[in-house]
Amino acid sequence: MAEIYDIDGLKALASELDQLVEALPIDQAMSKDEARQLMALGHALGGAASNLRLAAVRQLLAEAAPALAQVRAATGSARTVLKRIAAISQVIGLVGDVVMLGQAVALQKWTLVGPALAGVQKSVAAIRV
Amino acid sequence: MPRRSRTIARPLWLGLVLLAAGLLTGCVNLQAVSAYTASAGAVVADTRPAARWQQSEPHLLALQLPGDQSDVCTLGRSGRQPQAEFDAAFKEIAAVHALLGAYFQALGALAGNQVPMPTAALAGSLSAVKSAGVPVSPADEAALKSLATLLDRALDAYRQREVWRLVVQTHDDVDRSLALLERLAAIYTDEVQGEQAQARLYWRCQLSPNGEVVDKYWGRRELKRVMDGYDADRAALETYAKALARVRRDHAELRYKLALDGDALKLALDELQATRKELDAARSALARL
Repeated sequence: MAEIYDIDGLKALASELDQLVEALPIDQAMSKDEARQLMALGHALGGAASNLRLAAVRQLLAEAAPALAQVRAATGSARTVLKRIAAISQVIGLVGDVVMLGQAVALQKWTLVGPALAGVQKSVAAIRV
Repeated sequence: MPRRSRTIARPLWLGLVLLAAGLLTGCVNLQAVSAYTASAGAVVADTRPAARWQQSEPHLLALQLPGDQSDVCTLGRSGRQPQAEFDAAFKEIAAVHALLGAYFQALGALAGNQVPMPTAALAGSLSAVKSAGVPVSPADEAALKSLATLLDRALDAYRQREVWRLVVQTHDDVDRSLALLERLAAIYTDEVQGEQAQARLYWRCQLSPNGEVVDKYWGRRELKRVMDGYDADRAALETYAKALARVRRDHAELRYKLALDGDALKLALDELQATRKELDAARSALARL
């Protein structure tokens, strides 16, 4: 192939080969030998068309690689945002725990201070993104 | 005693309430986006069209008439790259589908309410406080609840902004990746068309004087059945390509829609429901591949 084809060129050329297959006068073969030759030609044309399309697929995948890497990165960062949203929800839980700790201290219910403090610490640890 | 406790906690609440109020820019239900991305994600993650391309040669060889020993009318493209080459390319394509599927899933999760909202989180917290035997005055409880409601709305606004930001930031790359799938779909359609040409050649040979098929009437009916199957396969692939184009267009539009506010946004998001049906239909059409 002297000419260098781009993806669309490869695809178009493959379709042309397929059209040649459709045009083969297999119905008019005068002998079994002639039919065999025409079939062999059709199989070769079809194989070449498939190969051209495989080349086009590979070329397309190679060209899209940088964009795909960006999508991968963005998907990862979206997951980070999701974690942050979960953390915001947990802040509210923390507010509740802080209220409880405050009340326990104010009411001098010392037996409750320990568990309340543990709750606050647990919530703070969970919130780190 | 309760008075003292309230003086400890109130400044904290007031600060949070003010912060939440400051974050408030408007509130919207992004469920429509979430539902839409489920449909869009299902279409872009579907590997059946690529598998149809990968399986083209086995599919063609399966058309061989049982018991035909003749070496005249044969099936099978020659000089074709080994099947392993097609399998390897398919693996790469499947990874692209998985990646884009994951992207739409993340977008949907961001827009959806998979994380408990502050009101729900607070209810749990309050009942824990009460069950620990700490008295909570009705005024304190009301203040906390209104704070949670405010935060619910702030979180919604935050979601909207983040969904919008993600769509804007990724648009060019997502668009290019979807364009890749679209161009691949066009190649699959061509491959099926090429396979169809091979099948027709085989049947034309079988129906000719050199062929083995004696019952020409049955043969012609069988040829039509096989050709109809190919036409339907190509139609399904074309519907699929259109659905991909639709997703591309929607992704582009989402950038502008998410920048809208209030009723305009709601209206714009409702439109997504209509295209959702289109995408679901395209996907069920792939079942025949």
